[in-house]
Amino acid sequence: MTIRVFNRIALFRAERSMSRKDLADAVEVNPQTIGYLERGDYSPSLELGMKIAATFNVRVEMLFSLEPFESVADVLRRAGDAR
Amino acid sequence: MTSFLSSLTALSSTRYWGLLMIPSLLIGYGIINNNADAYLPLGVTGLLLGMIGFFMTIRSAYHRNRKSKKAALDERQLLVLMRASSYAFRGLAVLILLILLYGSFATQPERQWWFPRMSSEWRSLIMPTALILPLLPAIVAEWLEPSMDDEEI
Repeated sequence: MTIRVFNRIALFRAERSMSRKDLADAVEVNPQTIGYLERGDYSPSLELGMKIAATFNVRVEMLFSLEPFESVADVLRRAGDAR
Repeated sequence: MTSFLSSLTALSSTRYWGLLMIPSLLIGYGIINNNADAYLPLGVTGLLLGMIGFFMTIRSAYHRNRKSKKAALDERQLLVLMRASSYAFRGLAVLILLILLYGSFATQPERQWWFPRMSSEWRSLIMPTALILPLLPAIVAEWLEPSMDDEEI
């Protein structure tokens, strides 16, 4: 059984206005691999995961999780309700 | 009409050319090598389609690797290639088994099934097989992982 690894690569990439090619060049993989990662079709090795996290300057667990991430809209809505 | 046109676009995909290459080369080369004049147009067509399929498969394999930085395959590409090679050679093993089974039936005296017996018949299988074998993993990889032409980068 394959365990699915969820990630926020697309979110961080969009926030930093990086194209898939920019990120692929930074972590030395094929741009298509970034697409596969973002769609959840491929789970990266520990090395690649750490390289991507280092590129975004965040901790690995902020980028990858075995549980689905909460959507940004939900987080913002909750933060708005808390105010 | 639209679906017909889109099916034509799909046929231009290298994945179909790879599949087409295998029977085309075997039939085309077999007919021409055995001087079967009655089937010459079929042989020439088969050989032409087979060679187009051969170069399309080489082109797609080159295209797949060319996009990689430093011309090296990354971990996902290596995984795809390993899976493709594994499927391709497992398929080949099954095919060889089927040929052996067919051969054991076809060569029994009470049956008159065709089976390569003369050296020229065997030779006509060697050349297309030698062309197809190295490209088998590339053909399977094209089905496991479509070309990145339409990938948004």
